[in-house]
Amino acid sequence: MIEKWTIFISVFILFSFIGFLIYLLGSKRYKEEDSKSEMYKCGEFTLSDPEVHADNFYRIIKDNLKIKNLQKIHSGKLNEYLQWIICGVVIIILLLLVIL
Amino acid sequence: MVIMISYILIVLFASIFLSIITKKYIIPIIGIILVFILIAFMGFFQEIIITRFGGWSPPFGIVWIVDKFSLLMGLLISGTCSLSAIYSIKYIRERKGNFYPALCLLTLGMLGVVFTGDIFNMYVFFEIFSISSYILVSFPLKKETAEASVKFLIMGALSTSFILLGVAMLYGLAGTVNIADLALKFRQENVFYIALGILMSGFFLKAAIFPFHFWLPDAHSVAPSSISALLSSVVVGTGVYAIMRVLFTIFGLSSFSIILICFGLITMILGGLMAFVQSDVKRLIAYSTISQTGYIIIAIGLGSNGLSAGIFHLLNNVIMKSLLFLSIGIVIWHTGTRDMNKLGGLGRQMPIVMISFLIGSLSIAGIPLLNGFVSKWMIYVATWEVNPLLTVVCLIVSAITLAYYMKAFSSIFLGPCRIKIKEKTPLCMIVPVLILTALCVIIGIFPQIITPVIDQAASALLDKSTYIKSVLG
Repeated sequence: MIEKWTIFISVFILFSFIGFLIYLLGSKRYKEEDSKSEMYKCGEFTLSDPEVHADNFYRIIKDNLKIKNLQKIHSGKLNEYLQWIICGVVIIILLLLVIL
Repeated sequence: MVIMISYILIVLFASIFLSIITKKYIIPIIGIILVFILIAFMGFFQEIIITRFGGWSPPFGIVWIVDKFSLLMGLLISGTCSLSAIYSIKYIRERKGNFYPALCLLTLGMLGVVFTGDIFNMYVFFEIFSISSYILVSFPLKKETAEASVKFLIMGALSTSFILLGVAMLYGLAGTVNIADLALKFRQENVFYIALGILMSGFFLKAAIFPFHFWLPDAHSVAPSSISALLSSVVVGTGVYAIMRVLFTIFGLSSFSIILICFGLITMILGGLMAFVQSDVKRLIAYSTISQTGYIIIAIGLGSNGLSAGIFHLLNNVIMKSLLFLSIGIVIWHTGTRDMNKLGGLGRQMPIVMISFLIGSLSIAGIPLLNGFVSKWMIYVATWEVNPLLTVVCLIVSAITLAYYMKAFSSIFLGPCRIKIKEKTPLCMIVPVLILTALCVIIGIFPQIITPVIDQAASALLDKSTYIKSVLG
């Protein structure tokens, strides 16, 4: 039992760390600048209060995993929903008959 | 003790009629709270409570059965409805005279589903609470709520049609609609399994399990937050209850176990991924409901190993989802928007709501010392014994859950302030949120308070012979 605890906690910490890395990567790239920075000929300059929009969170993952395809099937059209439901009923009944 | 069930029915019916006649919404609020107290009082009694309506003996007459599992569900339903009723005092600004009777009817319908010992009666109560939920989704009546309500109605009608068809087939095959009697007359024949498949399709639609989940985000995101809290927690939970009751008491799980695990797994992943890309905070929480239902269904599919974990996660899901929807409801009440792109920096203006939302988010992601961790841990242990790969997938989805809730938290409460809050949050909206937050923390730190109740509920569900003996004698 103690071993399982250790494994689960280690895996959880690992995934949390990966998640944090993804968060850092995802949010840094799509920052939007509200105000122009003052430009000087030499010296350091900083951006003032960049805003991160909810749509830009994890955008890299969204684009890479092609979640847009999943979004397309949740179109809000009842006809398409009903097709999925009929498929579901047929699959459940077939599975039940095959398993038995 | 038998009289208690009659009291519950009398209180709810009286609340509905009196609130319609007097137009005073305080009556149904008191009525629902009274029902919660009556059900909590029934918890002090150890034996199964059987009520025979009209003096007719089962299997011919209608019976209501309160065992430990249905009692737990009854407490969850009446408790959540009470909090939602209190929250709605200020949250609902128009047509309160119509709202509260519909809320009472919703409570009555859900309690009927969990207490009845008759599968046809279960269908009738499914219809009752479905019809009241179509009405409640349409508050306040706007173009989007009307569309969601009509969609919900069509999907709900389809769901109850499947249930009715399944019940009719079972009646044709076994000649009875009493659950205990059906359990005795069940035969391992293909026709029985086709009836089971149709019945389960109806329940899957109610519980929003893939590929029957499509209606849920559309309906839950536009409903008033106090109703979204009920829909995502106890309404979906009632569908899950029906799956458990019918599978464990009538048919036995063995044939359906693998189907539950497969469908649960897809539901869990799909819900998580879809929540990941949302910018509408209520749609995000609605997809999260689908994902968490996936966890519960996987745990149920594991049979006796995971049943306690499934029931515990069902209970936690009710608490966490109500908390998340009610706390986000306060944000929507003040700002008038669900779009996370338009929100930001609200943490400084509403610190209590921010902390409550954070606790709910961390809890649902399964962070230690919060209630979600305990039930998720039990699910991890149960899945590990069957297939460690299943545990890894559950852990990955938990990480995804944490990621999308942190996105919501960050977008709404952190960063530069975009909207200035003018009004003070009413106490009746803050109190239910605080109660639910406290429950998340207390159950997380002291899970031993609740685990005996969960184990008793799981044992009651698994002990088919005692159920049959209690009903049929």
